[in-house]
Formats: sequence, structure tokens, C-alpha cells
Amino acid sequence: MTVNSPPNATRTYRPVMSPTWWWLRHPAWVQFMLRELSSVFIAAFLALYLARLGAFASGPAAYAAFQAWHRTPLSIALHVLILAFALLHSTTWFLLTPKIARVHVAGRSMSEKAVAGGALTAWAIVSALVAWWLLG
Amino acid sequence: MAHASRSEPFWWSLFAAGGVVAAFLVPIHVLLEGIVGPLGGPTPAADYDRMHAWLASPFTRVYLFVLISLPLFHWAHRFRFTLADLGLSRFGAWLAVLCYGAAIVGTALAAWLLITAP
Amino acid sequence: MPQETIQLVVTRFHPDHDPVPRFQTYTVPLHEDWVVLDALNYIKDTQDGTLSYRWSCRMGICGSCGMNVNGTPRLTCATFLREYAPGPIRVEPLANFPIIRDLVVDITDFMEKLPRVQPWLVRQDETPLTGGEYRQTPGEMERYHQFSLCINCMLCYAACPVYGLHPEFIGPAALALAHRYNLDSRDQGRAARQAEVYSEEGIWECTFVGQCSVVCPKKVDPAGAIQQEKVSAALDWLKSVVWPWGNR
Ligand code: SF4
Ligand code: FES
Repeated sequence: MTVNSPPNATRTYRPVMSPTWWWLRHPAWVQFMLRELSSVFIAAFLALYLARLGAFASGPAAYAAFQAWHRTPLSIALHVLILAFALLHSTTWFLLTPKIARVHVAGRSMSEKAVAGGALTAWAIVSALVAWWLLG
Repeated sequence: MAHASRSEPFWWSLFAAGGVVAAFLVPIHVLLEGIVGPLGGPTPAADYDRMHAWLASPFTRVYLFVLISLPLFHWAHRFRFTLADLGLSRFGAWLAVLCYGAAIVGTALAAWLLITAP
Repeated sequence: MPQETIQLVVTRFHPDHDPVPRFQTYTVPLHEDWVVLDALNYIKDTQDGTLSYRWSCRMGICGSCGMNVNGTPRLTCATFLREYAPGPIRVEPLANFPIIRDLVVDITDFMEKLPRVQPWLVRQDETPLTGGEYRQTPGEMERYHQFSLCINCMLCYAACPVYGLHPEFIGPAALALAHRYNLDSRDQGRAARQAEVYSEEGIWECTFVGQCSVVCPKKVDPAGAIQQEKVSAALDWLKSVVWPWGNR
């Protein structure tokens, strides 16, 4: 080597994150992972809905069998789990809404709390309307 | 030199729209059709005849199409990034094909089932 | 009454002697009004003059004293020891940056990324100085004000797992500054910034973990800035589809 540099002048230590388990190292990251994972449970519900439509297309007997499965404890437990993650998705989504959409009313920007509160209220109203439609 | 992505805004828009639909609609559907209904509550999905009457309305069919398809893209987008962040980022392009592909197949299936439903 | 104390477990790394960083424990007095930086200064003055770290203003404005305190990025001049009593307190260099020595990190990557998003007023038509200043109403100023408060402390980069996993990510503070200028009524540089800001290494890399906004000492909200840019980029895309002839 002809180039002389002071010993280790440029030696730095680069910490490495575990590419798979990094999120276990901070509670906020665990919460983030759960939030992202909620989409998997929502997708499971959508897949079950496709299966429901498939069973319906196959006729009354197939549909009755599909409904019978839904009454098993396994299915109820699965749906309780899906519901928990769906609620996690909805609450995180609406609480983050004010960060994404800045709402201006009469030239002044609304507070984050007001926007999130509005979104959560809208969710409650929509849920009530859907319940009324489905059960009515 | 970096350049503005042409595909990401498209997938992100579907993700955002699907996230909104899922946030508003999925919990109440899971509660009523997955838990309350099977435990004896009256929902259209509870038996074949009621489902038949419910699906007779075109509004129901369009509604169910939106309920299923957009949140599938929401899942696809999040899942793609989650897998990349769990150590699979070197398969980035494949993850995109796999995830969005599954959402496209699911959407096509939903369309077909809802169009042909008796 | 005996003097109350608290332990600091501090990262030590000397590039010539340490193959990897190690921890060293110091015991310091637990004063009600002492911040972590006071404790480090106390250690350097009375116990171990070889301990290296950066600081300057001691008042949360220079942005040089950022470290990971118990795993969360903080300005050590604004982090009281008493918050962590009875301790011990783990003091590490800012995460996600290469360590030069002890608590000092190499910020070259950030310094190279910052100018890429052109965080200054870009004008297509420079008006001559005689034309006076570019004027702005208080309302126009309010739109970007929050995003202009950044002190370049890089806590947000240390808090961002996406930056840790994918170092090519332009990252929170730089993207928040791009947003700040995009929102400025005097600026005409949004199109010029697009290539970097709307690239795969720009806003689209972000998965909205949101910790950057939690740790930011100036409430800049980089996470919000990035999502708002995603909305703008999506709207641009939509416009280009329904009106391909328009040249924004
Ligand atoms: S955005 Fe906040 S955390 Fe990030 S560098 Fe600026 S002041 Fe620091
Ligand atoms: S010493 Fe300047 S910000 Fe802490």
C-alpha cells in the first residue's frame, strides 16, 4: 500500500438489525406489526366471504353445510379473533386519519383530535346503518 | 438517478381505498355474520332463502363486490411490505406479483360469483 | 442523608481497540434537575475523560446531542435522569447510523440525502431583487410552518425501522423538508423534487410505522408529511389518467 492513512481513521461499526425479528425490540414496533398483521385476518374474512358466495352458488344443501360449520366453536373463536384484529385496524386507521388528511374549515385547520373524533363517529354511524340494513 | 414511480401511486391508492372500506365495514360484518348470526341472530346470511332474497338486489351485489375487492388490495399492499420487512426484500418483485396477483384473482372471483349468483 | 445515585450503562467503542461496541457502567448523582447530558459531562469531568459524545447548545436547538436512551431516541439535553429512576439508564449512540466512537455516529448518509430533495425555495421565474420579496399571508405560512421546525437531530432516522432495514430510504426528516417546501406558496419546485421524493427510495418506501413523529422533539410530524405527499402523488397519478393531456 502506498497510501498512508491514520490507523482506522475510517473504521466505523455498523450495527445490524435482525432482518426477521427486529420488531421484537421495541414495544411500538410490536404494535406496528400487529397493525399490519390485521390485514391478514381481514383477508381471511374476505376469503371466507368468497367461500360463502361459492357455497351459495352450489345450492341450499351446500349453503346449509357452510352455515353449520359457522356454528362450530372453532368458527366462532376464529371470528372473535378476526373481529379483534378488524377493530385494531379500524381504530388505528381512524386515529391516523388526521395525519394523512388535513381538514380545513373556514380557513383554519381542524385539530387532530377533532378529525379523529369525526372519523370515529362516522364509523359508528356507518356500522349502525349496516347493522340496521342486515338485521332490519 | 432516482425517478418517480409510476406503479406505486396506483397500488397505494387501492390500498388506501381498501383500508377505508375495511375500517368502516369489516368489523360490523364479522360481528353480525361471523358471530351473532351463527349464534342465532337474524342476518341475511343465516340461511339460503334469506341470502337469496338479499342478493336479489343489484345494490347488494355491488356493495359486496366493493366490500371484498378493495380490502383485498389493502391486504396485498400491507402484506407485500410486511414480508419485505421480515427479511424477504430481495424477492421484492416476486412479492408484488404474488400479493397483488392474489388480490386480482380474488377480485375476479368475487365479480364472477356475484354476477352468476342465482 | 446519603446522596441518591443512578447508574448509566453507556456504549463504548474505540475503533482501534474494540472489535465491537461494549457497555461500561458509571454511577452518577441523581439530581432532580439533571438531564442525561449533565450526567455524561459529569462522567467526562470526574470519572473518565475518554468518553466521547456530541453536544453544543444544551437547550434543544442545535440537534447534536441525540442518543438512544433505553432504546428510544432522545435529545439527551432534554431528557431528565429522574424520568428513569431508579435506573439503570442505557445510553447508546443513535440507532441506524455507523458508530465512529462511543456515542458519536457518522451522519454522512443524512448529509448526502438532504440536498437530494432540494430543501430550499425553487423558482422557475426568479424576480429581480428590485421586485421586492416574495410575499405570503399568515394563512399560507401556517400550511408549512410545522414542517419547517426541524433541527436535523436525526432522532427520526434512529426511530425508523424502515431506514434501519433499507438504508437507501431517503428517510423522515428529508422527506418532511421536501413537503415543507412543496407546501410553500413561494416555491415552484415540486416537479423538480418529484424524481427523488416520489421514487421507490422516497415516500413509497415508508410503511407508516409512525415512530419518527413520536420521537421528534420539535413535533415536525415527518410521518404525516410523508403520507400527505403520498396523497398528492396519488392525486397526480389520477389526474394523469383521466386527463393525460394536462401538463400540471
Ligand atoms: S424531523 Fe424531528 S426528529 Fe427528525 S431530524 Fe427534524 S427535528 Fe429531528
Ligand atoms: S445539546 Fe443542542 S439539542 Fe441537545
